[in-house]
Amino acid sequence: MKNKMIFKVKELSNTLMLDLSDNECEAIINELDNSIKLLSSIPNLSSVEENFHYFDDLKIPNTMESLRKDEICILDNVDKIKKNMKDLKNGLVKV
Amino acid sequence: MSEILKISSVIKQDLKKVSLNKEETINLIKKNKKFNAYTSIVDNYTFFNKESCSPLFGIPYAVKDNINVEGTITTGGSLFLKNYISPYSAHLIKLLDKVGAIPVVKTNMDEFGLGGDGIYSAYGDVINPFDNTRITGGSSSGSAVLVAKKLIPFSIATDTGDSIRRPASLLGIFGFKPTYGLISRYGVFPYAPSLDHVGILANNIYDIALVSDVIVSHDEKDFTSQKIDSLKFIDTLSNFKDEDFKKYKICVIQNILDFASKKVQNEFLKLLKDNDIKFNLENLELDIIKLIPLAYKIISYSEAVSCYQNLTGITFGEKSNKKNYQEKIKDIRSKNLGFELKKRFIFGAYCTSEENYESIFLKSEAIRNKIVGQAKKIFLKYDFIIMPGSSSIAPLIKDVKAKKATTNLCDDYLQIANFGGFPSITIPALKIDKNFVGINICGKINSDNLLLAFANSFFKKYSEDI
Repeated sequence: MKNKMIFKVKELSNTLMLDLSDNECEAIINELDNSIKLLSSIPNLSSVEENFHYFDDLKIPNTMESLRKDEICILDNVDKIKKNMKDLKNGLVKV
Repeated sequence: MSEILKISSVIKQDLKKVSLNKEETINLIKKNKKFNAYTSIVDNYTFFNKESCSPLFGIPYAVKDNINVEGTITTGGSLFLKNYISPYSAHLIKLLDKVGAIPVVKTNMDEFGLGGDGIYSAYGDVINPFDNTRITGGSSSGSAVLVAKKLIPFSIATDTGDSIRRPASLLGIFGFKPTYGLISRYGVFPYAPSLDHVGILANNIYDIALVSDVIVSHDEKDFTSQKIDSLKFIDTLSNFKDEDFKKYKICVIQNILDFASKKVQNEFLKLLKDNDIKFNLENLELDIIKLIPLAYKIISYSEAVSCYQNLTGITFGEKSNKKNYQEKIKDIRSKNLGFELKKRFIFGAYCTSEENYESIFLKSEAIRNKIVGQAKKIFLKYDFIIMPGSSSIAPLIKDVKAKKATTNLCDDYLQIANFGGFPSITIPALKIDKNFVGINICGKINSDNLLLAFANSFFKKYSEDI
């Protein structure tokens, strides 16, 4: 299990493009190992109170409404966006 | 209305005592550079409303350095953004601009908020002004120090686990985290969006209420912003009478309190009993509360790695001279991000990888659901949960760095308020061996105005003399 974890952490450090020393790698693996052991020691909770959601009581407006407003904003600015896209293609942003 | 003006005028006088004007405040802060509490001074801020008649008009304030203030350098406590100039202001800053409050300083913080001790900033440790061998708590460490030293009347900060309330407890000030979605996070660097809150640090609750009346407001640009009627913080505070205090039902969670140091437990219970404060002891399911720190870690680290994939050094932030695109990113990320951040990113990516998503991440979400469910059951019987603001006095820096001192369940209890979005405030209350330990009061969703009024009454009655 731990070997698999070592392999995975090294793979992730490459994916996330983060250089790590051996000591740093070991510290991460130890913390992960301890955490996952603790998590595995408890029964599966995925079915517990499945209909309940922790933010049920909040009065957050329907996000679709906000999305539609953003969409309208984009439509209102089509010409500006087209110009920006053209500028981008012309190398305004240099990498 | 006249009552509000009367209070406001008192507050303004109180605020003036702390900081007479912008220039004096800036000079005072600069003279106290030794605490390493700030990353930059904002000297030429021109966006505030010069015509406002708000009691906050002309009042200088501090901003945690993960909140965008147009034209200022916003580092997030990271080398990665050491030259990043905010192109726009966060919504809440614009609200404060409208009433004429002036941001004068950006405060030091644990890198991007990922750290709870005040020792994970790329710009060095923030110094505890009362004992420099001890931590300040974090991640809003610089904000808390400036307020605690009375160099600034209030600071706007963020709280994902306990980042406002823990330093408030350890430095003897007030730290308020409102209900989730009451203060817009538009323009605020995220850490873990399902847990992130913007809040306020100050030296009294009136100041917190005054600022809350301005910045608690619906914002269409923030998808998680709540739309509710005004909570009228100052009105509620001024209408709350001494005798109202006894109307509310209070609970202490025994099996979380058990994890605090003996001194904290004794002093906390002594304060409640000596003052004849009526409370009941309740217990949460022990197997579940032991999982609070683990669920917090997995959920917050998983969200953080997702949020910070944009730190590539290509579009913004520091840049690398390497030729190859991938080398550029690896070089800039490896050189400019601290180990605590790298650790949390890899941890989070591990928990959300395809093979672990269900067994680790979703299981942690189920634990969170269960913890919040238990807290909500308590709020069916009680109005407030009162607990120590931290399990001990501020730990020694050397112990934290050697991993000899870690937070325990009593500290991690504060994360329940982030899990469920409950409003929560830490107030000064105890002094143990000359060190501060606050008391935390947690309330029901969207009862923030009542929470502040109750907490103010508690402080005036029982702990003002510390």
